[in-house]
Amino acid sequence: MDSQSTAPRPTTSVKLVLLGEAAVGKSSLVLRFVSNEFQENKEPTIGAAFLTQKCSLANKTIKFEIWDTAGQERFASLAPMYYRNAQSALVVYDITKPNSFIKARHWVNELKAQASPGIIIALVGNKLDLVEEDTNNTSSSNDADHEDDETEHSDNVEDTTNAITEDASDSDSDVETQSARCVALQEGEKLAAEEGLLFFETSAKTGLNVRDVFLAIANKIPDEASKRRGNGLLAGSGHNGDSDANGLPNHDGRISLDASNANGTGACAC
Amino acid sequence: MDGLTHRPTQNPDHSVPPLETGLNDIDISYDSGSEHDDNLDEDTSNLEVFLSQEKHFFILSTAGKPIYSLHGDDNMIMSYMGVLLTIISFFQGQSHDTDNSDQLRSFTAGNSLFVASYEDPLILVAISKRGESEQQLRNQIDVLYTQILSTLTKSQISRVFKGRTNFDLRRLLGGTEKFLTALTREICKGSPPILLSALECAKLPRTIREKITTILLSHKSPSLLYGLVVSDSRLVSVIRPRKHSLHPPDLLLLFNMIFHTTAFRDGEEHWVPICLPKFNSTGFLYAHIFQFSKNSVLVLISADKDAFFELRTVKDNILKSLRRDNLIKPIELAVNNGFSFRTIDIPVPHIRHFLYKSKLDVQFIMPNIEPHFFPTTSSRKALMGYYHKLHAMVHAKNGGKLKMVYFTKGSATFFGCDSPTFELYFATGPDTTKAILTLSVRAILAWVSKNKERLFIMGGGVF
Repeated sequence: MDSQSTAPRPTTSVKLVLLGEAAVGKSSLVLRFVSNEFQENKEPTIGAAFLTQKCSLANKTIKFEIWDTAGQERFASLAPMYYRNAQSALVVYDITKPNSFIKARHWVNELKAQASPGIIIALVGNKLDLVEEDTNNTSSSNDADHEDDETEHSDNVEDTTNAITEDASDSDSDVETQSARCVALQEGEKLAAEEGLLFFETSAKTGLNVRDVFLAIANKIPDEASKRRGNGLLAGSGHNGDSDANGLPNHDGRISLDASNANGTGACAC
Repeated sequence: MDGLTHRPTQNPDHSVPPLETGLNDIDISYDSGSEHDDNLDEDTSNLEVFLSQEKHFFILSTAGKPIYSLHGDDNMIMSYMGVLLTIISFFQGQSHDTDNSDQLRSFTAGNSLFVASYEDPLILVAISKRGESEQQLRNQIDVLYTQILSTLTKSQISRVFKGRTNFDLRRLLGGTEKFLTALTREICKGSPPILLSALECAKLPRTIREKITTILLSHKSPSLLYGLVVSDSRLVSVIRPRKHSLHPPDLLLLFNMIFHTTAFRDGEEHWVPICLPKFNSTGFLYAHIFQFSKNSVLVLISADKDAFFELRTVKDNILKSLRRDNLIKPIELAVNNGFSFRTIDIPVPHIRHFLYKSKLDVQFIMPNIEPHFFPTTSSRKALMGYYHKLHAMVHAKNGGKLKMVYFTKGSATFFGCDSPTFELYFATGPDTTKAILTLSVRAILAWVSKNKERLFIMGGGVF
């Protein structure tokens, strides 16, 4: 795959898990990242799907081992199995669904409490296309939304087990406001800043910012070489710095509508 | 063949009541027709469509919360389920002190047969105007019930309803309505696996199947419980531990989930908690599901939820071996475009279609439904309808149970028989004589016996 490159770049395997409420677009983000495709009305994931994808950066190759988990309540108890050994996580919400943001907050808390201490978490507000379409042309996004609403309904009432108390207040507005933005950019940014997360708003449908999320994670992963150099010494933490500066979008996770951004530092291998 | 009884439906003999009159035996003189009246006058156009359906399935909680309905929107279902619950509780009210108290099991209203099943805390109701027997409808709702169990397990259902009889189960079932819908669609098509509670295998030369089974066995790992190769809902090969057999109703659910939805047909590896209710209705197993070619899927099942990566290695090794030995193509060819085998392959003149179930193997076979004989969807549906009728006749519980039955309807003669080792149903030319039918039966049995090893999986690979 990398035969054209001069020297074989070291390959680092990175376990990544996607978490988030049902129907926020986790599988669609993965499908966009892995196959650069989008499917309307994708069927809900059952259990979890496992995929791998290589990603070539300037100085290394990252092999993502991705757990795409189902968002339905009944699978919640299985989540630890998927994030237990993960080095990175995408916590996904739907920017038109306030409940999904609350759920995202819970996933972040759970990861902070239960996952490996060094886990790199990216908070991802998906379905940016719905909001953009809304300003230009209000009619076209209805199909996707209906489906979401159904799932949403079933999830609204679910939280006796997860004890989300804020839920009730949100469920009303949720149904009425179809495709308008319900979670402000600033809310996502604020949560990300508080918890030290990467933050992106994306559209799996248009592909906007999707690669950037994975690239940002890839660039935050300490490479094998630095790990090895770090062996025996304290931590080798100094090396992590370069890759950060190297690959992270320079706008602090703010959304750039400039698509050229996606072809930035390292394009994906396939 | 002495038991052969000629039974034209137009002129039913009294010894075995044909289905339609048989249903009246369980009529509880409910005010027939009121279900079809306009007592629900919200949206007439939809309501008409709703009421004109030939079949309905309702699943509700004992508190009356809707869980599933084949047709209708929420409003309509709510009122309809209310009516059902009222009828049901009226009878339960008579003596509700024990679980075995009198419960309304079935009734007819007009030409609709209602069958209710109680799986506390759920009530399942089937309604049909198609003339199926009570037992057949009961079997159909049992399939739907096991689907719900396979998603949630019996223990989880009891747990969520404990102290919360008002619980809305739909929130836990989220995303699986499509499996119920896929099942009800199969039921409405008259699906033979559901009618016969049996599996269909892919027709394969014995040596090919043995090679595949040997490969599965050679790569098994400690956590592996069952390994299956399935192609287009047909079993190609299976391996299992000596002390556990697989139950066709469980596999039916698994195949329905995999082949009648698109959720697993994306070339990705899936890790799915699934309860196989006939194996153990209280706990989950974990299935590694991977589609390795157009129609074919490898399913590796473990009781250990952490066994994914172990089974993933097993999968890689199995596929490597299948490819090395060029076995994927024969598997695909065996089921190409739903193909099984053709009636002309069988040396039985005039035979149009048949179902043969081997009771010992709990497997059935059937040839392709030839468009020449059954050109339209409705003619195929009618064929399945006659199979249901024959099946009901040879399985009738109270008295008059026949070993064999045949009748002529339109331009075809339909035959059915139930023996200790097999069931056979077929459609043949009109006005076929008893002698010819007898010859046909013998010829089919001889052909099946000769091809047994290609048609059935005898035991599978055991470890």
